[in-house]
Amino acid sequence: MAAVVDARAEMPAALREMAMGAGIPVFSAAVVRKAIGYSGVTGVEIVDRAGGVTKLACDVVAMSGGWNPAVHLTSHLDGRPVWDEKILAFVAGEKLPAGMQVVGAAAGVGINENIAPLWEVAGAGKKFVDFQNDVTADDVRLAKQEGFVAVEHLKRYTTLGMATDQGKTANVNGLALMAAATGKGISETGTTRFRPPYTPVAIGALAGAHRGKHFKPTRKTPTHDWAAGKGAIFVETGLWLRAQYFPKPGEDWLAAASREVAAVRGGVGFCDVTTLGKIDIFGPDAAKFLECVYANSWTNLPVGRARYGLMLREDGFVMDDGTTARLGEAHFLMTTTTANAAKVFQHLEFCHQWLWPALRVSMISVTDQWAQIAVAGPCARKTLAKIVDAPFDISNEAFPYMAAGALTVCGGVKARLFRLSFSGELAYEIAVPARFGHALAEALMAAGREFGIVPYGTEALGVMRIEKGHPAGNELNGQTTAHDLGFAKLLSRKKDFVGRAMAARPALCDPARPALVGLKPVESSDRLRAGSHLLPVGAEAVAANDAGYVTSAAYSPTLGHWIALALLANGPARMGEQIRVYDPVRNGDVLAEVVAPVFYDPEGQKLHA
Amino acid sequence: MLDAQTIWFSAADSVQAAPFRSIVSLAGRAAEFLSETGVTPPAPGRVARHGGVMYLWAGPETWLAMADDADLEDRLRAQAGPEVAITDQSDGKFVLFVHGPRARKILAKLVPIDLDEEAFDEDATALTLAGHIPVQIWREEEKFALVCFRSFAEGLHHALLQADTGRI
Repeated sequence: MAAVVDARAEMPAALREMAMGAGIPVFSAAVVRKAIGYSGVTGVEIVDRAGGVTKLACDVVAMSGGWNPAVHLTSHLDGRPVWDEKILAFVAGEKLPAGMQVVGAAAGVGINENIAPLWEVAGAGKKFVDFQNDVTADDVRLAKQEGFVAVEHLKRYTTLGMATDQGKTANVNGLALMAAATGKGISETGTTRFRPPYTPVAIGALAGAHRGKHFKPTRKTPTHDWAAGKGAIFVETGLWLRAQYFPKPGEDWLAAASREVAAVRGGVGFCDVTTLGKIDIFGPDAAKFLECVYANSWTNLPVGRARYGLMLREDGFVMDDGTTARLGEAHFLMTTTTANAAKVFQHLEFCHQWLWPALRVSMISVTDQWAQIAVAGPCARKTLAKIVDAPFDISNEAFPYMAAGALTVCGGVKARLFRLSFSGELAYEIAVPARFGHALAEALMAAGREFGIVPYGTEALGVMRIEKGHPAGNELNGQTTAHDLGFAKLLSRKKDFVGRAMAARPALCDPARPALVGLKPVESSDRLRAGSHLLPVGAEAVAANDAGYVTSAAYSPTLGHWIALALLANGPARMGEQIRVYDPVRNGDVLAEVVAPVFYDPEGQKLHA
Repeated sequence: MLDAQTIWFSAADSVQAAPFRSIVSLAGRAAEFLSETGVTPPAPGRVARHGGVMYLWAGPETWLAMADDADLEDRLRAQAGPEVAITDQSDGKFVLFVHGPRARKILAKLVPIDLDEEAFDEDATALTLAGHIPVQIWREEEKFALVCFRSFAEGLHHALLQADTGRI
């Protein structure tokens, strides 16, 4: 060690003896005035009380300026440190966080005895205060000059105390310099508050497990392994992985989806729809509760029947839709869209707990309990007839469109059956306890083999719902009203429900609002793309002329050309009109005819077959 | 009859799938029903055991009943009136055990609550998160039991194994 330099007038005898004993030169009542070196320290200039200067070679300078009590924990809990003039340090204030006491050195006891301040060494050159962030004494004075006098401003203007030590080595010096510059005391100048953590923590340690798939854990459907075995390509829908299409060798997504659609429309196919939110709703007031949360009516729904339900937000816009079945006088099963399952469940709990707490109703998610599979196509009934246990009758007379009921399948497996159709075909949704989902898929493949059954994925599902004109997530986008989607007639006038008052605002019923229409290309080979904007023919492509946009588009293998659903200003009154479909991002600019959104079986004969 | 699919995991010393059990949710007039059958409905965060059935508090006025046999739902239905909401969740939920001397260490990496003996005794239960997966947790003898929705089973198992092998 090259030397010990002690700024105090009287160096403690014990320290002096220790240094002398080790043969280390001692400079008492002296300070280091300057560090010498460029990319590293090569020496220092020491100046003593009498003004004598000594140059000394060394390669490191270590400093100690007394102790600062660890007030951080009290500060984390809203305590305000106060300045203690006797020890020249901040200690915890009198008002301590509940249940906390500060003792010993942390309370300033037994430290910094007989200490004298040395905030700055006189002399020329840079005088660093914050050694991590290179903040100098002149920076602090500049902050004062620029008006950043308050300690929080000083910190942000100079970055004093922002390094990994969070001011533990520099703050008191910096505050003292500011106090000297303003002529105020340190007590008046105050200190910044401390936030956790006390010592630096690597971001990786905070991120911990929440990386990759652990950040957004995957949910798998009951038929996941089965579909994987059939070569399915999966798509992420929220947390879920769903089968998107089942390609045969050489098929791309479009060829596979088109084949699946043709197979369903010409025979039968099935699709795992487990991901739709399923909520069992019980209680003597269950029907009344549905009247509150849905815009359309429910008390008149008979047991054993299902109904389409439209749910509004409080602000009158559409929140979600789905079908809800009445399984008993006091027992309903609500379905929601996959995307909104959790949100709708929370909404229902809110409505019950806060808006209608007196209603005797309870609800529970059964999304994971039931493996639900849509079976669709003209041969759907013949397929299901082979797995439904006698004597349950699924004939059109006994189990018509929108029927719902409990039964057993495949020799005693309890099941729920719903005559619902998203595809526009004669269709059912069948649910079995989740552990039987895999085996149900196998049973359906066997039962439908003679009708050419295929599994279909979300692509084919999407194509068929666009052909049928059913709004889905692209249309239920949180910005559309019942009127926009062609559901204005569903809004009951005989009851109150969430969103009723706000849905009646004139702007939400304005016929000029963009409303749901279908589009078909004038040139049948032209492709329509979602996201394209709609412009009057001949109008310049500027925002002022924007008349709406394409929400969903698909190649319809049934019709042999592209089709689209769109939201078009005053849409329903513009049937037959030609419109420009403008897609500057992908160089699309084609003409389309405005048509009704239902492209396939508009009379709904197939549903009722 | 269809074959039941078992969610099967490779064996690990500390993390195992529980054998199939009946899990039934009770709501509606459930508190009255439990009292009538001699079970004091467990308070929030508590578990009660009675007649071979375990009852876990599972939310406001909601309890989960669990038993090893397959007939729990039928038995409860036979005893309960129509105003008790009884829902089979045996397929919707999946139970995993974490046990052994490292159990608390593994769980500490994923579960944000204090599972120390003093803070979480053998009749305690909590609805919480393991990583980003919603779980309910309680104790069965020397084991910690976690239940999640079935669709999360593989994700939860994977997260626990990662924690077990120090990769988290």
